[in-house]
Amino acid sequence: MFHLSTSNSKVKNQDWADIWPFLRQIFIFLSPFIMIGLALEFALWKTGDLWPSQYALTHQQQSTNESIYGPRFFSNQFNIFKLAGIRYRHASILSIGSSRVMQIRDIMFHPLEKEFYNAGGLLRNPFDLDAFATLIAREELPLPKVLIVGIDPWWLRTHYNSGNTTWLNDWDERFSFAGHIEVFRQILKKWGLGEIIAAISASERPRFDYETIGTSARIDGTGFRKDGSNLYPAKIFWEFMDNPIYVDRELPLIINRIQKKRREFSLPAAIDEKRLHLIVKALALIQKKGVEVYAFMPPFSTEVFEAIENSQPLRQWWTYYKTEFPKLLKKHHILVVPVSHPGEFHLQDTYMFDGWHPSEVYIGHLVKQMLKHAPDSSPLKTVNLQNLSTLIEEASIPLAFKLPKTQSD
Amino acid sequence: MAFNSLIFAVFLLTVFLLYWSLPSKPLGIRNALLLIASYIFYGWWDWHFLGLILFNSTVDYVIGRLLHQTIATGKRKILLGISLTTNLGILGFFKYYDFFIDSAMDVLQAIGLQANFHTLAIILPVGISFYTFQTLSYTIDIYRGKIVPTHNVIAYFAFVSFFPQLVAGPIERASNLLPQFLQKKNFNLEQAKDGLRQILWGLFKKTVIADNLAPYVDKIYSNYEAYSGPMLLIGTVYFAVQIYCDFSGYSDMAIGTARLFGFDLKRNFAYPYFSRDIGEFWRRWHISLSTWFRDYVYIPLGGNRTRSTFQHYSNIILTFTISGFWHGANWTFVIWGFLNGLYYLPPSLRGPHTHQTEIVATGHFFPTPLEFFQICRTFILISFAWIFFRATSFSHAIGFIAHIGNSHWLAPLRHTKGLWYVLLIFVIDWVQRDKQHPLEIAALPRYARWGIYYIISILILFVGKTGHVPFIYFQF
Repeated sequence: MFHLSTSNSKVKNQDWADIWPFLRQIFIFLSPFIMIGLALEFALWKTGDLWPSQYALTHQQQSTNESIYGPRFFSNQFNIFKLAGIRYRHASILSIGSSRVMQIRDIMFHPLEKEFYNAGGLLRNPFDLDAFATLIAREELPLPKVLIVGIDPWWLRTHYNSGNTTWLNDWDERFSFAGHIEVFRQILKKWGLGEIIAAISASERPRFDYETIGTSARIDGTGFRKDGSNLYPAKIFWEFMDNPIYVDRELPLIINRIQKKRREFSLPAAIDEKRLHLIVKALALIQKKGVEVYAFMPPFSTEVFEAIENSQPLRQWWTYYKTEFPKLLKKHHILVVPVSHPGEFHLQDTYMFDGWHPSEVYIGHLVKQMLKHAPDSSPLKTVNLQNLSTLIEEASIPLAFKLPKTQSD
Repeated sequence: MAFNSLIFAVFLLTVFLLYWSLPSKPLGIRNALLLIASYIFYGWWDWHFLGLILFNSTVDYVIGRLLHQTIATGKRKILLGISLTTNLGILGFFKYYDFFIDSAMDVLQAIGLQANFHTLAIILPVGISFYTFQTLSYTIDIYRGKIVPTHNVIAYFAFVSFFPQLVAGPIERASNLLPQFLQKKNFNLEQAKDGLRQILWGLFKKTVIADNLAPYVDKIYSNYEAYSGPMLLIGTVYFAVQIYCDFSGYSDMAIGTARLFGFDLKRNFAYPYFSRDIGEFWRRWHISLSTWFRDYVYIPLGGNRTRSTFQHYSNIILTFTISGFWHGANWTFVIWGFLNGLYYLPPSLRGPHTHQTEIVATGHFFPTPLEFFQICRTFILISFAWIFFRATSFSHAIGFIAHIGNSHWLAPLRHTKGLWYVLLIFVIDWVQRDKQHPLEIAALPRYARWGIYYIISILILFVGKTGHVPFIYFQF
């Protein structure tokens, strides 16, 4: 006990005589958590998963060889990554849209490979497009000469996807405490430590013949290439070699979504005039900046295409997207790559990864059409069409121009 | 800066180290630190409203001093009136202005008149309902002669804005908290340890129980037509547990945080869902608010010392209804309060359990069949009233209730995982119901205590919701 007359410093010392053991006990209690946390952080850094998107992008772009960015434990946060990519690359040919345009590649635009960047995944709806157009109009993003905008049919629909454009204000989850806790949980609950050990060993002994950043890239060989296009997991290509059939790899299956009228194909499938207006307005705004704009309507598998065609409740919406919408765009002098399916090019559905993601070989056909029909004044006229034709003709399999190679190949 | 965030942990550690590093004399130094810390804590949400706290505190400090110096009853009443008008005026403007405008327009439209008043879409300052009641009690208690005003400005301002309880209570009385700012404090190891335990328990209730039940509750309430009757009943139970764990979790963290600095705040929850009657429930639920309304509304209205039963009943109904309105500017809260007032009327429901220290089934593990029946009856009544509290509108609540009876009772149950959370909290609370909080386990051997701490911490890390999920009572 202290008397009130005890000097201040003595009281303070007595306080600290109790506070130190208190703090020490807290530290001892927390030390297992701290040690596990630090070990995991170290492992995540080693795999590249922990690299902040901007840092990873810079590292990737500065690499002299092909480099694939594919984290697994942390999300790839492709919106932040792709936005950083647009800023870094200053591409004169820019592709943008949802994941359905991610197979457009730089090698299709020879000799302008270095001029191309694929920002697929950045836009999910007309509101995103509007936000992007505003950034372009304000010149807050580098101005491309050619812009290929993938427009999905559900962008035209009422009630599909909210108007919240999040990617402008997105925060890299690597800088969030909650993000780290979530990743630790996933490692310890879902993937197990084996996965992270495999990722670290893959970082020591590379599996593929390209540079890799992140666990998915190191283990499965999947992620974004330097040009922003997406490289699917090597396993898919190898499986295709063993069994060359069409498989819809999207879950739930796209065909089932159509049949059950779920998600992108839910009812009522009505055209939203406001959204239409927003798309046209955004594209016109970009055009005004002197950019050559292509409205790219990504293809579907023949199976899916026919299912939509034959669906009575979806017909009005689909017909509008397929026929009226391109007319509207053309009226505003916007160039259009119409929606298609492999059958139109005498190809099989094996040229699709699933019901709505085309392979690079199939996309190659579409880009070829686009190049052929480009105006004479277009920067695309300098692209070597023969080179693209050769790529298509010499493609190893319908899914890829070349098969991924491992170090042992 | 919410208690369930990393930034708060850093803030708390910093303030804790600074506080105990400062000399204990003069008292003003540590109090000044707490005042600055509290203003930083509050300003983290929105610094614009710091002026409001400062204004409220200044008005009541000055009026408190003047009240003490004034003898004439008339003048004292005027001073009290100024305090009431200022405090309730500010609260009314920020919290109820738009509500009254909307309600007036609805009434005028109902009688066929076209009205077009402008609402202001006012942002409600966080914690305004709590600190307003705290400063009000200060001036009212001085007026009543129960306390004398303090001369210590810093201690008074720190009392009003004390960060552990600033934004969601417990609503402290000056008679309890203010003297603690005027006492020299020594670090008390046992008090601090218990504070930390209570913080851990509060965090567990918030992140593991409340935040995991929240998505189920949101889904069920936002789309009740799609659910069967039993699912709506389950949703009602989920909300009852969610709001309990959310709010009492906050109170636990507030009390625990205050204890790290040597302050004892009022107990705010005392296992309310084990109450045998409505009276007991209201002595165990949000105790600081219930007692505030008892002392500053119910008793001034006449309480139970009235000439007629009717007047007594009116006082009860009015007190509960105002209490409901305090929660928010929506008729659903008014109805919730009114309903609880109604529950309180029959003596059989109000019950004989007049003191919160009376613990159900004392000395036994299981309650008697009668006690069990009483607990269930109280829980059902309270949970029913929560439907109005949770619903977004009166019609939403009525639709929800009607759908319980109308829908299919044999449809398969969904979201049943939430029942584990309900069971977990009820079992722990029941076993520890004679303690101030369930983690009051200082008597256990260290390995057992640490084992429990580790289990709870691991549950928080692995099962608790990550990211910031706001506390329900922040909106009030």
